[in-house]
Amino acid sequence: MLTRTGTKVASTDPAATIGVFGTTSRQRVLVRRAPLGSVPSGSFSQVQRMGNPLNNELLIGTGFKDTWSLSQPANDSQFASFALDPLLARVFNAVYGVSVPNPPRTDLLPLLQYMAPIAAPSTAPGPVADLLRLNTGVAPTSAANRKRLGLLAMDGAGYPNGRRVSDDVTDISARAVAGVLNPAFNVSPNKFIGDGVNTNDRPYQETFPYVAFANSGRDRRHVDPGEPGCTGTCPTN
Amino acid sequence: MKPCLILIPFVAMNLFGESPQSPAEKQIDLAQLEIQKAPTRPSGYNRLALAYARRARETSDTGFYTKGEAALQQSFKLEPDNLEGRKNQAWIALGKHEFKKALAIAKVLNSKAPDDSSIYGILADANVELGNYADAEKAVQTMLNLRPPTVPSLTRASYLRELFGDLEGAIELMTKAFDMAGYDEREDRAWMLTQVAQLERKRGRNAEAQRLATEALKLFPDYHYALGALARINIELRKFPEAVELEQKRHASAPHPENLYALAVAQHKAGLLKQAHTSFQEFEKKSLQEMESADNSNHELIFFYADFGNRPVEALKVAKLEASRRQDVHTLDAYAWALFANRQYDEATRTMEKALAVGVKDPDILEHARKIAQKSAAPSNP
Repeated sequence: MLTRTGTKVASTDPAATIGVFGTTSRQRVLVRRAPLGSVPSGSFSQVQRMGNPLNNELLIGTGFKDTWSLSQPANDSQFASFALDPLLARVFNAVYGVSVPNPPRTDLLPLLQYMAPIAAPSTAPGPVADLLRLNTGVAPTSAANRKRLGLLAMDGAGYPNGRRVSDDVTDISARAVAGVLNPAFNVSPNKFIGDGVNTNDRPYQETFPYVAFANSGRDRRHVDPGEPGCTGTCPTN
Repeated sequence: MKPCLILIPFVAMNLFGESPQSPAEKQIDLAQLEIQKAPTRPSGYNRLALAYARRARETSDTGFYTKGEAALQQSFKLEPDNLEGRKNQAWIALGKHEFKKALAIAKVLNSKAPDDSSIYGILADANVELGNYADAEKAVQTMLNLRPPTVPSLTRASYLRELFGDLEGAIELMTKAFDMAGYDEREDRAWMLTQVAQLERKRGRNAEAQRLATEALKLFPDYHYALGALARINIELRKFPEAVELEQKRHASAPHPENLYALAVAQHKAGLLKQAHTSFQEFEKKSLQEMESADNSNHELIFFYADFGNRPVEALKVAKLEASRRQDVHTLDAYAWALFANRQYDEATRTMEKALAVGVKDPDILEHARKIAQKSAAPSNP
């Protein structure tokens, strides 16, 4: 078990919630080649990371995105101002007239600290850090009962409590930025913001690779809308 | 315009094959078209300024910097202090050898946009020219860390490796950059070939250096940098008449005092003493006129006074002036040489040690260092 105690604990236990992130690194080119410099040639350096989906894309300000990608979650307090006053929320307000909570946006802190509704209320919040939080005490939801909008749709095993392949993280993140984690802002139109893509043309799978297999490049022709054979949800095949 | 290792960033690539226009000329046309289409947006003027800066490097005609600055004035009228405009202002300052000004602009821009890789390029170039090598290295390494290697980051890393004495490593990165450059970027590719040619010469592989410089001239005919490199290689090969011919072509293509000095030296080595004397006289006159300006030929003037003019006092005067502006290895080398010419051997040794501290293995500088060390070690310092 990945918990701090190494055992499976109840969802109400502070040890139940973990925070994870992934990184991408590439081999470095160094100004000084070994043995001229102290750093050996060919070491890897981090160029990207991910905890919560779209954190960099939606929250981190232009001009700091690369700096964020190269840094560690342990040092994320330097980016806290972006999360507490996200530019996207201001865009929602300025362009679409959506009423959003005033900064500082403490309603977004559950995404960046160990807090309810993901972590047990008695969990120490820890520093602000972009980690994907997962309460391991929450049982997985069966495929039939899974909700596209995860935790926002009262599916406790869905994003932002962990992340499943079927979670519509774009809509969830956009709505969270619009303030729906604050009950006063969980209203129309905030709670209906989305990219308009709510279903896939092919269902996800329950085993690896989880996403649908790619369409055949040999035996398939794209059927355009209006063409014979295009009915219902076309173009599909 | 003195040779400078500043690589103006790529603006766009032409994917439709070569044309009689140079890459910078194409960019000038495209920028003017953009201005026609959107005269109230600063981007067209910014693009035009950058294109003029590239044209200045292609032709060695500093008049293009003035045109670039005029374009930037329009840009700032439309949107004061816009980031791209300020960046191009810094590029032009570098081209005009106003390194401190470029550095000051870049520092401000870097604090505003710490993710902008090209600003690290400006910081690197300005710091290299001023002799702040630790800062330059930091900036280039940041460029390399921020993005997968690009032509601008690789060429700068290559030059730093050269300065640090890693000629083989410098060739490795410059070759990588050359392979990465767009096919139609003829001037950039010729510039990189010329750089590798110079590196090969510096490590004693003159035949390879000659081949590369010749290729650069095929790629960009009458390219002043490549003509200079090939002339220098011919001097190494003791083919002095060929060197004279190439320097004449170079001076005709880029009539700047430093190129006239190189011609005079080639003429002198070829035994054309009368012609060399005339060239040196003309060089001195023109060089003195620009002595106080940022883009000058003070290094050559120092060497002229010390090596050919028999006027060591003047050499030291110019060297002190230049050293008060910048402390890069070439300035320190020239300063040490002027001190040596004035028989100030201890001070010359100290200055040369400072120049060599970075690790540079330029044969000309090492030769100066050898002579200074020889005199310094002599019991009576005659």
